[in-house]
Amino acid sequence: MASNHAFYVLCSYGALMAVIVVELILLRQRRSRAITKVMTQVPTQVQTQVPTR
Amino acid sequence: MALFKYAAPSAFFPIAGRLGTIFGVLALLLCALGLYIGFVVAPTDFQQGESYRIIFIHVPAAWMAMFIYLVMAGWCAASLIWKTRLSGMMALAVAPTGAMFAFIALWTGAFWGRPTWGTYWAWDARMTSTLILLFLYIGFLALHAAIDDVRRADRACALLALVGSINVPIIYFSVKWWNTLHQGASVSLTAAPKMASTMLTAMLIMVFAAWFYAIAAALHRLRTIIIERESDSAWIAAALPSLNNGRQASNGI
Repeated sequence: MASNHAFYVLCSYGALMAVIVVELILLRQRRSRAITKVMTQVPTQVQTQVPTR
Repeated sequence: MALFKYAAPSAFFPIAGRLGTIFGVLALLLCALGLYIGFVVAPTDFQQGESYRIIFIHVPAAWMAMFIYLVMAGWCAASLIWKTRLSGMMALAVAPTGAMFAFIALWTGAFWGRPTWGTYWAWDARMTSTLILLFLYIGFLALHAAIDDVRRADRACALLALVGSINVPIIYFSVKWWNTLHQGASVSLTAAPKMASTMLTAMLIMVFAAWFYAIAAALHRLRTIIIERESDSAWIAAALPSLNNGRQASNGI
């Protein structure tokens, strides 16, 4: 692979990998925050009626 | 209608988890296969050299950015018509992945354009309309974050997404309607392929990998959104201990 072209290919694939990693980390952090919030809620706040839609 | 049963977040929550995992594994396998064919089997292009290999992520990313926007607009329309809570959540769940693909399409396009055209960027119809698509995704997410009431935020964002969907055909047909620096369509259903079969195979496999990744990411994000919005419901509190046990059993994954 010509070195000048390798730079462009690496920058493209590297960016894709970086963006996917960032997306998955953010997703995991958001999920952890959401679960923590539910687990630490006062039980009396819990709504018993489950809406159908 | 039986499908409306799954419009309830409580009914769709466990299915989303199972489907998300299946699509994630499929995406990983297809990505490995596509990259193997694209980098090992496919030959070097006689005109562009090795830089053409950017096509294996540029085209899938560009297609997915447009396709996800249409999917998002579809969920927004469903949200406005049937007022199902899950539709608004689905639209919100796919938007970040769509924005990610729009960004990757622009970024890889720039890094492919430099060795091919001699420039990273030009105010060309295809590139400019794709940039507008990225701004529409960002606008959708920003508008949703700016409104505290999630049902009102869903409605406002649904209108934005539906109005913005006019940009998708503009992106697609821009290379036909205007004289652009960007080349025409890479693949056509009505014409013979313009590239070698191994290159086309690798590209199409990567398209399916990107598609499955988008589904997996959206389903996992949807589960998080359901947890956030249904935090006051009894069923979510009941579902969470099993979730946490599952996480511990799978070593924190």
